Amino acid sequence: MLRENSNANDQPVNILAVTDAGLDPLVPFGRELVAFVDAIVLMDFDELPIARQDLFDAAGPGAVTRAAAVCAGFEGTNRVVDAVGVPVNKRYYDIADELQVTIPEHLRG
Amino acid sequence: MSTASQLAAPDTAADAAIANALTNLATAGSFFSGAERLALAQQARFSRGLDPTAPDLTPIVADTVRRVAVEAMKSRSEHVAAWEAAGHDVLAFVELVAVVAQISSIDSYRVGIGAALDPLPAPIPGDPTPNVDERAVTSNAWVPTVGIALAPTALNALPAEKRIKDEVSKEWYLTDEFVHKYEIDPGRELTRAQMELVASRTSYLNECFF
Repeated sequence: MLRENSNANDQPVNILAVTDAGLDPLVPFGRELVAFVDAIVLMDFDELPIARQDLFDAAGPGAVTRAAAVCAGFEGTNRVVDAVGVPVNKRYYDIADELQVTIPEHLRG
Repeated sequence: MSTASQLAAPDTAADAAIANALTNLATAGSFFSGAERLALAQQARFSRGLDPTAPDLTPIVADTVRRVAVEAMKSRSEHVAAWEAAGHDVLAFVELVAVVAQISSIDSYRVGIGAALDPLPAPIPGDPTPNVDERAVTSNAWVPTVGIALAPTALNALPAEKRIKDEVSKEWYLTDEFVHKYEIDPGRELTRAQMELVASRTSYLNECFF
């Protein structure tokens, strides 16, 4: 959806930054957002206060809340789709190849 | 120096949706009582290292909760088959997944904004009463759904579980109606591109291809 949004709104984005945190996503405050998400999902309680403060300093309290909210929503959705075996839509196969991630056989529809 | 929670803007709509979701967790569902649903939630927290105490659950229930809570990407159809072979309804599995996903997402939100976890409420007395969409059949996923299984339809065999998940999700992110309408500005504190970056990175870290 990141790629589709980029295409629809003619906004540049480096989609490879999704899988390589060392790259600049080319999205405003992208590095701060990625670091914040990493700390939440990995439950890194050492990094989380730093990442939260950095995002706050860069983008303000609303960004902290919204980033946590979007991350949380996908924390739930990811668990649901994987646990019940929702297959990956074929239209995402090309992006998976671009990101060099392998869609497991059991999720290929 | 600001405290952690002062670094996040209040979101009263999200808080209200979460409060409603927690009440729902404490209320009897289609297959589990309120007390049983809360035990599933506690086991999810225990599995994620967010609660020191494990509730008293049968091994297959405890292990299923643990897997969904901490390594859902390792789920396989064989796990659903084992669940049914142990005498459990496949739709009880769906309810378990809904409960674990709900509490896990709420907890991740609180952790993210630097707030304390919500205390689990007291169970609301009552027996489970099946609330099942009879049109649900197993098609392209491992559990019954109404229509083909997609992220928005994965829980729709149990309408109450889908409704409560959707109510929280729309406050956090977007309603299903607008998820793929990229030309619409969601009017959030982050742009659509920023939100999609957050979503994509979350899914990547969870080894989820959604």
